[in-house]
Amino acid sequence: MAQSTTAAGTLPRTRLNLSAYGERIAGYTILAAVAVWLGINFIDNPQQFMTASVIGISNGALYALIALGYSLVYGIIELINFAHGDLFMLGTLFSASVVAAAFGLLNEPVAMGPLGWVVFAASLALAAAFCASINVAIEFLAYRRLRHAPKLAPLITAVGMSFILQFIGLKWNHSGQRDQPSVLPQGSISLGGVEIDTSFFVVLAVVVPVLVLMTWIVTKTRAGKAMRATAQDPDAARLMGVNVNRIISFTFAMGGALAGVAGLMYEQVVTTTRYDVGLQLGLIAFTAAVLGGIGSLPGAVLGGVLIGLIQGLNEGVKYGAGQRWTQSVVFSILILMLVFRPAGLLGKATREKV
Amino acid sequence: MNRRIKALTVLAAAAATAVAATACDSSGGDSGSGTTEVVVGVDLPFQGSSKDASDSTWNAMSLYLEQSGNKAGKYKVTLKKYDDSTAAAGKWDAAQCTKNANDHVANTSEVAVMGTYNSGCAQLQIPVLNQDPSGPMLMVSHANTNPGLTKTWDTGEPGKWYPTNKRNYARVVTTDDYQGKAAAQMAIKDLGVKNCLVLDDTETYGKGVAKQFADEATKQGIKVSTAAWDAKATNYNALFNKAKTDAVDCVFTGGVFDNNGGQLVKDKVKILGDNKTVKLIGPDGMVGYPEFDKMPEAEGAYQTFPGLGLSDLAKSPVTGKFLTDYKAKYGADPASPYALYGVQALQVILAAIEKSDGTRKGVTEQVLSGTGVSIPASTAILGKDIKIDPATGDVNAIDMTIQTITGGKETTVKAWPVA
Amino acid sequence: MSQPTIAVPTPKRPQSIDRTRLGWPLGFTIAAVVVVVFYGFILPFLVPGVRVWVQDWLPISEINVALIWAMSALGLNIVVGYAGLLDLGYVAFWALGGYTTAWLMSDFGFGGKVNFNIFGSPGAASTGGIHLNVVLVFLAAAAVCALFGVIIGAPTLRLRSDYLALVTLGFGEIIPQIFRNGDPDGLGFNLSNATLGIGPIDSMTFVRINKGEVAVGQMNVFDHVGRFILFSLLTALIIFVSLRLRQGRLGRAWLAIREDELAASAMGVPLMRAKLSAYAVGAIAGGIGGVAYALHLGRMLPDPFTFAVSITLLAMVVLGGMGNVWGVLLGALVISWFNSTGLPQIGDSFNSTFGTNVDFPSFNFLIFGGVLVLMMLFRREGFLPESRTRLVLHEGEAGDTQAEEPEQELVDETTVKSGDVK
Repeated sequence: MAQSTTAAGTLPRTRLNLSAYGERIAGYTILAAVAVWLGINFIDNPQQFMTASVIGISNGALYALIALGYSLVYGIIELINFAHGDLFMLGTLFSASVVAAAFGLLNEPVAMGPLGWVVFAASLALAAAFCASINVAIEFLAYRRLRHAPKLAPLITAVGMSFILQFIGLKWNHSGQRDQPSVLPQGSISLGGVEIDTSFFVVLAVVVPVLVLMTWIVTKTRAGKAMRATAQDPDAARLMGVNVNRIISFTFAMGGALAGVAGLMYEQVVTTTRYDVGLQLGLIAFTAAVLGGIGSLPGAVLGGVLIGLIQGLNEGVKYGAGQRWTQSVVFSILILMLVFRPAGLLGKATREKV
Repeated sequence: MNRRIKALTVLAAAAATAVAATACDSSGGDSGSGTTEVVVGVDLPFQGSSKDASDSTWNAMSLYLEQSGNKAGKYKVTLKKYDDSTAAAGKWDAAQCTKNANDHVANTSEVAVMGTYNSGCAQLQIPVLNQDPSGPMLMVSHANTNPGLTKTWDTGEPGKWYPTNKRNYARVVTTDDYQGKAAAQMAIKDLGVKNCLVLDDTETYGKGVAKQFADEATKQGIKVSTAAWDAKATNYNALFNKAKTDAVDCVFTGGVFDNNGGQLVKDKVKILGDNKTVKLIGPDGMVGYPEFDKMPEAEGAYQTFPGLGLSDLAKSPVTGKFLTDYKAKYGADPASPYALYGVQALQVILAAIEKSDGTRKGVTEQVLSGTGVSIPASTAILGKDIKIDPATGDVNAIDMTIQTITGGKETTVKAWPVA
Repeated sequence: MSQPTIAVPTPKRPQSIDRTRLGWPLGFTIAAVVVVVFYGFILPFLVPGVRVWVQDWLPISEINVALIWAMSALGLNIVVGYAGLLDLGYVAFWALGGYTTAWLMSDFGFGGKVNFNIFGSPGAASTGGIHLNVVLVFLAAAAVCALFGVIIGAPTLRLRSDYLALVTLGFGEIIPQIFRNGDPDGLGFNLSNATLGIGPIDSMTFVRINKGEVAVGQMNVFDHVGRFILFSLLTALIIFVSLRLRQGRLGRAWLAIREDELAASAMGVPLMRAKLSAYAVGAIAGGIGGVAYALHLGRMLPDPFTFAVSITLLAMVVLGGMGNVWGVLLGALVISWFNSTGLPQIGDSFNSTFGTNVDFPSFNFLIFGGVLVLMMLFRREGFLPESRTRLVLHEGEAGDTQAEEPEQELVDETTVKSGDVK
């Protein structure tokens, strides 16, 4: 790997093709090995395999929601918003408080049925609004002033913001775990021996419309057009009459709302949270966004689902490496993928303009 | 360049003046009074997940010291807090443990250390305290259950922790070798399990106790499969689903609750069913967390505790009164029984100070040579005669309690005979 | 800067280079000597009150830890500050350096399979294992880290900067996890004793200063002054190499890449070689930091190597003054002290003075985060900016860049790249 890239840069063209050829063979070999591994596990116990996949996809859908926010913000100002994971963490804490407060008001330990769904919808809206306003405030206070600074400055600011949000989470919930109420119907459905959690369908019922809505906003609406224009060239967009500041605020609001939605979904499905959960999930979501091609919305979703699937299979099948290696497996796959497809799965290979 | 150097000189001068000023201040107070005032260092993780447990241990010890008039014999005793965790790590930190060990040694008025909570941290501190030129310096732990600290265990243990070949470490809890065994015997004899999933949290403590359990369980004829759980994982559905296909009837969670234990137990119940159908057994790393006890998913879980639980300890009149006082002062019960074990460790240290000549060497020798330290049942906070074996530093009170969680509370099932 | 202004300094700068040439090295040397004299020859004879005060506020062991951070931060400075390659997984080199030391200087010997001694100094109770001389260990760690620096660097060469950050982050997660799981249960063979860690690490033979007496011999855990001498020499070496490289051909190539990769390559800068050597040199410094860390701890555990360490190192580089070794040194020392000693001590004094019970360490997140944000907003260049960085960081802001006015319209690299939402 190291050798082939070294060769690519310094040696004449003919050799370059040869190394590219070798690279392709290596790539296909790895793909084939993965396919064989999947096949063996599937044959060994198809039900176990499928259940692990479903569990993985369910988690992956949550990662996708967080990754979407990352990707949106990155797409418009090329900022790796490290604070996004912690914003999501605040989303989990906030929605837990809202749901718990609603339970308290309704004086019911578990509010299921139609009333539960009303609580769910209201929390969704509130959590989205809460995180959106925080994200817009952060952008307004910090990132906006750094728009023309080199990349490292806003990145470090984002790291600083991430610490500040973690501090808020720490003071809000202390360092322990918070056990949260859930309105979702518990239990699972068995489809041909494959156990599917009911929450899986709720997650899908939220993630798919959200993705459709996002895509619609970005491609079809005026604001979306302005977003894309700003992403391509803020100065030109400004000259064309786009209020760049407002569009960037709007993007941050959307990203924040996504973090809020993700926070509620995580709260409802996983049902525990901690002040540092944002760090880990933020890393995963960032990885998902890059895996899919950062800046691309379907890419973020694909990346998230893929990472969830990899984790689920790694932990849930007979010949998996087990949970202690999950992080390494995810990152190894990511690095390999970037070596062979440097722009991500759905990213376009863009040249940096001069 | 000249300006910088000037600035440096000014700074240095200022610093020197400051030091001199402080020197005058403190030398006045110290010189005349002799060595009747001694300090006991309290080395715990006060940040991150173990914060609550550490705070209540500190509170209990402060309260106890206050009640005994802040003195041990003719010595006036004060506690000094040392934090072996960092905010960045959110738990105990290796560099911080080493730093604290050096601080203990450097603080000349300090004669003994109570701590640490984590065996990993103790492994870093004991050798440093052991090499103290004016010592070795005594350390008494209330919570280190790793056997290797005092007895033959891994390669080179326990000798490698004591470079000077003199012992300086004691503890008031039972060790994991008893605990894992007891849990496995209980699993087959009382619960009749046949096929057990043994999990560990990948940490020194968790792996140790999980291995003990797995070894004894295999010996007893239980089928064992092992896996690790990662505290950072989103959830454990996939992990338990795999166990479901293996048709396990028991899960042993070797590790601490802090490592995302709540999620682990929730997912266990969700995938494998409640704790009646598939038994859940945990070591002391899961004991003493009210938030765990109150989870509906914890109902019916079994736990081993290398000592006595809060409710058992409260039966002794001394301890019962102490717990009432504690609640009156701090408004809540201690977060874990380890708070009382902290007081027990302090009692051992105070007894040693009382009998000693007030030097580090003297205090250590009281515990780890001659007849050792013993505390009668009438005063010991554990409610029974406490004696520290001067050869190893282990405590005579080898208790093993089996408890279960019913109605959101830990209730004692029985004391397990320790072989 | 889209003009290829590779190494032509702006006319005003030579004086400042002169100043850094003498003032800071002199200051560093004086400070080091003062520390040695004070802690080795003066402090042990002062009254207990002063000793406690110094132990509370500035213990020498913490100065040593701060120097370890400084070594690694200086290494990261070469990667981020000089060559402009964002590295979010620098902790990997720290771990590699540390574990190389553990393998080569303890009884571990991969479960007793390997067993030899080359000028090493095994402890009295040693039962075997590899015992190399500490000098050889430094060389070995440097070699291992340089190799890994190249391995980590190689796949990133074709990537854009953000992707590069992610790859480094990935390695920063993978390598500590390998050490964490490195026992027969996790990896299939005993690589690192997993969470039990490897130890004790051999003490080395070096200058010992104990209560004013100077000797040469086997160090023990309390020979902090001796270790301080070693660590400050190593720091000085890294600083020296950084400064020399910065002024040489390679350093100018790095700066050119940092400021405009495309232009640099068009002007004939060998991108591949320059980038890989930045990774390698940076990694060596990190590895040396790791060796020092192992010598300081006397034991190697996998727990300390977290993402937070990489981020803290990055903050040290940025707050100190990216690209300026003295700034980075200062940043590392200050942040390290503040983290481990400063904040808890300030909190304790505050609480005891005002009788409050404020939990200061829990404000660490807020303070650290707040300082990062405020610094970025108001003093982006750090405490001690490198003259060039300062210009670059404020380019595009009116009034601050008179010298570069004509280029201003052409600049703004951050916004010109094509992003694609959707």
